[in-house]
Amino acid sequence: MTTHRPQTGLDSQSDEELMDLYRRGDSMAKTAFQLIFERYGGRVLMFLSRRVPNSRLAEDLTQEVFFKLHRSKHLYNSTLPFSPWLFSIARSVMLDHLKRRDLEDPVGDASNFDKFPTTTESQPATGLNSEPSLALGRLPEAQSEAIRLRVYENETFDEIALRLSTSPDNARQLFSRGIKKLRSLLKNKEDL
Amino acid sequence: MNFGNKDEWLNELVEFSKLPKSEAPARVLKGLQTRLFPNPWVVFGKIAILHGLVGFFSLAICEQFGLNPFQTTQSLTVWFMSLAGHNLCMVLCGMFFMATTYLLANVVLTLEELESIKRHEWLQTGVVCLTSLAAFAFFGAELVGTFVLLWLVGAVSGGLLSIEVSYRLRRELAA
Repeated sequence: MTTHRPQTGLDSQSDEELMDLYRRGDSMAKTAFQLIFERYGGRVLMFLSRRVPNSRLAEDLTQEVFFKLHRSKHLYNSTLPFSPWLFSIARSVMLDHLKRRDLEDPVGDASNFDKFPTTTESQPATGLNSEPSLALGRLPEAQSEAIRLRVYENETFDEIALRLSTSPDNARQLFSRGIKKLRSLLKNKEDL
Repeated sequence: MNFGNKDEWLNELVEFSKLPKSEAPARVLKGLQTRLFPNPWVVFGKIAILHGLVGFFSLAICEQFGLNPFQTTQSLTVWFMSLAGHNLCMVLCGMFFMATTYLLANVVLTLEELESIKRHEWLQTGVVCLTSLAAFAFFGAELVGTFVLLWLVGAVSGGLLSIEVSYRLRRELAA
């Protein structure tokens, strides 16, 4: 951590005492928050990193966890240990993210795209089944482009819509139909 | 992941507790600090602009020290006066003048900005009150000692009270 904070003698305080100071919201609140983050920020990030596909997203969710902690600090009971309370927030932020993602991407996790079967032991790596990327070429251009932008460029549906000069809903549909078709193409090839 | 599985919750809690202490990137903390602790001067600037607008338009329904730029015939001051005489009228006028600003700030500002106001509530309210009085004097209001004092009592208490109400209301809605 490269951010410096003034020496305030708070380092020896317990997590619960720091939360008390933070909740009071006076001039010490910012330092108390910084200390809490120093103690738990890395741990929350590590916990989330194990569950989401990329580190940037884990960092965004870590910010969200501490933002939620800030918004709920008046609900914290300092007679109870702090760590499980923070864990509950982290877990609920992660679950909210997963639910949101499932709503946005009902056909499955696009980040798993590269984990689609490519070859089977009994089949040599040839043609369509050798690489999902090759199968993309068999899709209509708009669907193929929507998948490419979503999966490889990690763009949002709003951004994809802009690039394809269409609405975000339509971009989502293009992606969804493309993935379905792609799965079906790969499955047919496997069944042969 | 099973969303409602208690065993899984417990396993994850154990995993979380056993994670080694590590550092998160400084940019995460910096981003959070910007969101959670906005610059008090910027917040004060927003309040000053808001108060300038709201205060001016509030004169349409509650004139202050005889200032009535909209030339309205109906004013809350008349009602305040009939209700409890001149002294209490001054207190209520001051209270109304400040409270309208902070109650509207509830709609315009974020919870974190309201929190920043609360952190410096005496300073913010005091400066806004005194600046308002200076503006009244500039626009020709007759400021008489006792009335000014009573108005200040009303304005400061109205300001502090409305900050508290606004903050608590937003906090409950946001949690």
